[in-house]
Amino acid sequence: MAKNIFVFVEYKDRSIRKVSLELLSKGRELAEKDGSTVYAGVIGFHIKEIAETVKSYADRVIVVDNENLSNYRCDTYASVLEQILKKYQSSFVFGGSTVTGKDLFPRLAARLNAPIISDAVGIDFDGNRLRVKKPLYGGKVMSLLTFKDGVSPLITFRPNSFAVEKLSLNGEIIEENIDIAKDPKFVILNTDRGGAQKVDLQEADFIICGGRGMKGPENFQFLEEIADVMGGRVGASRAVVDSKWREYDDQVGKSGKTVSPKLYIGCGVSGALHHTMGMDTSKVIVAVNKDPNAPIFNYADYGIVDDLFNVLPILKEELIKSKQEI
Amino acid sequence: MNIIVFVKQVADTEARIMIKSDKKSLEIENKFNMNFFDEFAMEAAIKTKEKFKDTKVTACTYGPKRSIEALRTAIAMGADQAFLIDNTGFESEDSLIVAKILSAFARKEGFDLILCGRQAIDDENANVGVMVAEMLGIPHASAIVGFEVTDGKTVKIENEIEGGKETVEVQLPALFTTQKGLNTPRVPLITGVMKAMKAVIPTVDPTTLGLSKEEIDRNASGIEIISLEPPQQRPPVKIIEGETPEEKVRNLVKALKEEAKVL
Amino acid sequence: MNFALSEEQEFFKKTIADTVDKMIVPKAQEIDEKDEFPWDLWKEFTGLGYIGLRYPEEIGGMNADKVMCMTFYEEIARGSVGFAQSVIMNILMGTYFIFRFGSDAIKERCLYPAMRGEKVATMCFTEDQSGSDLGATRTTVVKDGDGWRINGTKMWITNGPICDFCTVLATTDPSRGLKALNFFLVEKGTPGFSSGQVLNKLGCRGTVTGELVFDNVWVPNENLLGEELGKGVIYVGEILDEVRLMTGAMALGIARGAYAEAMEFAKKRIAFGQPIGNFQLIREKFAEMDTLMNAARLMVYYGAWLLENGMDSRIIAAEAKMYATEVCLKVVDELTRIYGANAFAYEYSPQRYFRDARFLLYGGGTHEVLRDFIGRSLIGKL
Repeated sequence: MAKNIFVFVEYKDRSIRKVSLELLSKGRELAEKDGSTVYAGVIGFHIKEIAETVKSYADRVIVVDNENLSNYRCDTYASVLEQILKKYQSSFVFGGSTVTGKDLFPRLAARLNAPIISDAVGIDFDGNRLRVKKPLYGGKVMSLLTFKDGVSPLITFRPNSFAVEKLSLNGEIIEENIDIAKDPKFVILNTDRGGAQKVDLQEADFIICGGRGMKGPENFQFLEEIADVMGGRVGASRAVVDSKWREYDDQVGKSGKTVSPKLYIGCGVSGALHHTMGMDTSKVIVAVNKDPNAPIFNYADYGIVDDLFNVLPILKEELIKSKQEI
Repeated sequence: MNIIVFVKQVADTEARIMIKSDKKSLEIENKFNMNFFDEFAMEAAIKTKEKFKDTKVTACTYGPKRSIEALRTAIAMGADQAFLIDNTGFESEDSLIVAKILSAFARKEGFDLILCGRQAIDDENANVGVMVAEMLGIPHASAIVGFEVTDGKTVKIENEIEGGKETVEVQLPALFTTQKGLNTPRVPLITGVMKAMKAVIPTVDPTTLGLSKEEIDRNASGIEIISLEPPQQRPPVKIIEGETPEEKVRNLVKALKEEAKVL
Repeated sequence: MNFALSEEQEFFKKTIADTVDKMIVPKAQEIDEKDEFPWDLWKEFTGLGYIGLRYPEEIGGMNADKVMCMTFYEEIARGSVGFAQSVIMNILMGTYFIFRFGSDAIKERCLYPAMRGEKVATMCFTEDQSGSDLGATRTTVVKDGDGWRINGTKMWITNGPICDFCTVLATTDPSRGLKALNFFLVEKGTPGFSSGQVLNKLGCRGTVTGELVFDNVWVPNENLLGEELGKGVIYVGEILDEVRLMTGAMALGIARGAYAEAMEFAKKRIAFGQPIGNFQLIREKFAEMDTLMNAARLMVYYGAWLLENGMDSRIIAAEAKMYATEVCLKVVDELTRIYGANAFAYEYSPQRYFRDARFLLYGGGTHEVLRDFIGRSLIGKL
């Protein structure tokens, strides 16, 4: 019996968010194994354009276009999805484990009395059943989960879990008119998007750290620019802070702050234990250092042995390019 | 005002965690704490109690007997009373089941406001709080970073949304899940510690909340554990190849994108 | 035999450990580096009310049992030894005799504010020439009208230079040694009472230790802390076991802190292509440290249990203090060995544990004197 996979699509400005493209790609991969249909759900206001892009990635695109849906609200979106799913019975509902996903999916799951697996990082089909990979205890344990027969679960996935496949399907766009009512008890007074705030070092997803190899405070400008591109923070080694090139607030290390970003890049950081003890739980560590014997390469996943002043300008360009593809 | 704070006792981030030989259960070193995000919820509740004198704060958790310690911490911080809903014999971590139990408790106890941590640091699901709101049919906001009870009937909150923040006025009864930055959780005073040490914390049998055994035990969950695995070790460093710095950087960014999946 | 802590004691232990982790541990290095009394932290921490730990609930205290007291001393020493010394002075030695013998007026002026952290207390026994040898005390006290006149100099007084009041040990007759000792309360502002040299110490930095000078200091009769004259030594005996066990508990705390640092390093430091914790000789160090720490822990808490239950704890207290200290010195030594050259840098913490631990050798009694005391107690007078 065919299983339908429903993907809740998120978008930013006028482009589909990368995580949604990842899920559509993955959904396609799973669907091809047993002839399932991939549905994409696009909800909002004036979203025809987005629906047109989404149709390359799905068999059917369910569109609900209504002024009351112009901005995300849990009450309206959950209600719309509930009604869509009632009509288009799906075996699985996928969503991103994003700020929106974390707010919407549990509410929807409870409404549908459906089991939910949140913040998953992988899913595959082992011939018999679906297996979902979900980290526990901050990644210290990886759980492999599956579902009982007859159950239609919701699953949210962490961004960057899957590759985006360039699909060129020709999905059918179906517009649905659904009644939407806002909960009068929930009144949005003000929405504030943007305004660059200095990300807390310990909360940053991206940290680019400079060490002695930066040669002087003026060169940290390069790092600031990269941090801006990535929406992250600039860090500093203790040597740099002691030399007063950077503030103590930037210090990464045992006597500074312990950080655990998704991506850490150390430039001209030798990797003294003092420093590495403060960042070695980062998800991915990259080191850029002229010295191939620098201890930081013992702790890094990737390394570039080269003069950081040659590397940094190009790194900035390449990161800008890759950001634009999101 | 009646405030319920749902808390969870979780393993300390430094606790040793070992996968048992059956690969389906864990052995956790005996180091537990109140979940980090729940502290913000407790602090918000106590601050409200300090502002509006006629307020009762009830802390509650669904967990094993040892979770009583987390409830004592809640009392030390200022909760008036606490209840342990004992999960011995059921031990299901399924969000749907936990939410059913907690909402049954809330219905029985009565409430104007419910506060919980945004997510538990052990499973990082961020489900239970929002699910409870749905089951109780009340509005919710998740990941609040600002909280102000304007009067006994309305609350003004600020919460994180995609790419920013939103200010919302919500009518009680409502539920909010708390995010870091909401407040600075207080360190208990010795008077609180003493009160907590002496506190009598009743244990509640979940089946007395109007739920049947079948509804709440492990078999009621639609999710099954296939196995629990250790994480992959960090392999030795990959030095990026390239003739020129340009080539190296391009190869690096490609690897970060496709292999490491952090871009 | 029940070795378990009660649920209440476990909760207390957990709460104080968390409080120390949140409030004190992050500041420990700075306190040591600056070597200035951390007034902000003092205010914040004493505001929680723990100074009343040992005193009755009726006066705002916690009436904690001895096991909980030891738990407290252990945890706070784990956080910052210097800060711990100052806090414990207010909790125990600096306020005990006032609690025990002070008039209501004195308690209002000194004890209760000290319990709130509003006043800093201390106890002055040691002099330049008398540490273990209390009989050699040369600070004299002479009856003078409605009061007493005190003359002398005290040395090595924790909190001395910043104290608001102190309990000073003075003799009515130096020739009678231990039989003529008494305690007196002297408050800041009393003419002739001043602080002298501030010591630059190897460890326990951040706490202010120094000289106190009593130059013809006159105090009224009610400032005699005691029911009779000449009973100073007997009164000291009331808290001596607790002071020794407390020192042992501090040793446990320092050892635990050092052990944790060593563990983290052993897991992370890579040499010869792997974490050094994989090497047998490093593993042996941990086995040894854990064994010794467990033994020391049992002694200290056994002593606390005896004390709490009104049983004779004199020998155990002395033994526990000695043993826990020796264990702590071994653990901090191993920490510096495990850290290798890094232990030699002020940048890392091992040097601080190493320096701080040295005070344990004389705090609560030197081991030479203690050994003699224990031997004498065991063999008896022949």
